[in-house]
Amino acid sequence: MMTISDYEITVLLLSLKVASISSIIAFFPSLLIAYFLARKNFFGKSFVDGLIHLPLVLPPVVIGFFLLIIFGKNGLVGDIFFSTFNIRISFTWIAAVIASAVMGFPLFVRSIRQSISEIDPKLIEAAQTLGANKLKIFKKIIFPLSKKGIITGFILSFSRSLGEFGATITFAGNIFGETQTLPLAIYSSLQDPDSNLIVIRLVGISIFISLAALMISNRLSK
Amino acid sequence: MIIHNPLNSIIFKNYLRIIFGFFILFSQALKANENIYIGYASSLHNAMKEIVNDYEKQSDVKLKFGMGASGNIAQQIMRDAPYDIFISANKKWINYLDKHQKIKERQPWISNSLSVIGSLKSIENLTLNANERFCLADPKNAPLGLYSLEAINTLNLKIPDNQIIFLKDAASVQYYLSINECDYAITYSSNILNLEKNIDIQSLPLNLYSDITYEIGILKLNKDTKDFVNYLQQPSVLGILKNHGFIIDR
Repeated sequence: MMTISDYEITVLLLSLKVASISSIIAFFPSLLIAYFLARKNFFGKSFVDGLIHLPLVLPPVVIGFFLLIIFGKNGLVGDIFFSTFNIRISFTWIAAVIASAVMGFPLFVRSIRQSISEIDPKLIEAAQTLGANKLKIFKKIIFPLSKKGIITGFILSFSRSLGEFGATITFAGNIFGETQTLPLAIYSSLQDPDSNLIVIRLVGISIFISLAALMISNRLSK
Repeated sequence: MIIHNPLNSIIFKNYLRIIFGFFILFSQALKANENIYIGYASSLHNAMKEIVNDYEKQSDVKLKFGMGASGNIAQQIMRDAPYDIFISANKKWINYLDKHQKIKERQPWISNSLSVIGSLKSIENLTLNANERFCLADPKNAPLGLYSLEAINTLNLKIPDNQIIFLKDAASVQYYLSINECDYAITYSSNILNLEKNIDIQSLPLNLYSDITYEIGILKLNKDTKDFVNYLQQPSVLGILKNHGFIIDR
């Protein structure tokens, strides 16, 4: 009863794999965009800002639908991958990673942007007068001072991925061992009148993982 | 000293009025009791739209419907979803509700057959490339999935687990077929009529899987539900179903 079954381990490991890889993938573009949004003014900034926040407000199923249009076997990008490299994206674990990364992206951008805009501009001006170039300013000032936001963003996007359902089931399907993450496994078990116990156990695991992620993030961002 | 009571403020009173207004509005909408709620197997969807449309022209009764995998609807009913009539794509889910005393009356209805989609020369020698996917309905809830697995087992097809995409019901198999996501799929013959012409479709022999029987279960017996169920057995309705590719006499 208290031991964890092979089924649960498979689901759990896949969820952690998808969540960590998607957060890492989302990190670099998030950092770049957060930097531009926090420090620069450019034409169409509010449009870009809105676009980035779309995954936060759109129904996740809609995001899944867009991803299918783009990365599906006959999709705009998916077709190129499929016909030239013979690589399939939709309905593989890579699709689950992409779905999670897109859903976690706005959360990542928000928290990094917040901490970059809190950096005192005088520090950057001082560095400029001392002859530091942009890259050096980014490496020596902006990056270290926005660490808190980066960690928070990481945990937020990681947790978002652990809870991602709508985009994943639309774009990556519900394939055991391949794309069936925790929420999908819970959904599957809910469909089966005989698996109430499995549901309760999976829900328990899900609560445990999410709480742990939040507690770690609180500890790290202090 | 004057104590200002927030409950007397104009804003608060208007707020209460608005809430009250909404309450009246929605309770009126909920009260209309000439509705019949029908839950049905998703494979019936296109035909049911037509049938319901016709029925509402000749009757005052409004039909509201929910569709999905038969098992899914059966479980919604177990959790007290307010369906009056339930049409399942197999006997299993009607039996399940019957066992829990939810069904007042039941009767068999129409039948269907299976087709396999994908570029196969012969079904027996099917081999999937690593990047190909076989779409099936989820046998947990969708009767289509159970019938498909029967056919796959009888044919002794070997499909690697991680290349099967289980979709929640017959309608979503149809959707993913329509956007070309599935290299192969098994679906109802009634669901392939509006697929593109350049897709290879073969019907599966009927002896590969058990009889597909749709059953109607009445959950609330009254005149309205009986009338509608009688209507469903009329030749005109069966004609519509036949046009959609269902088998009406077996």
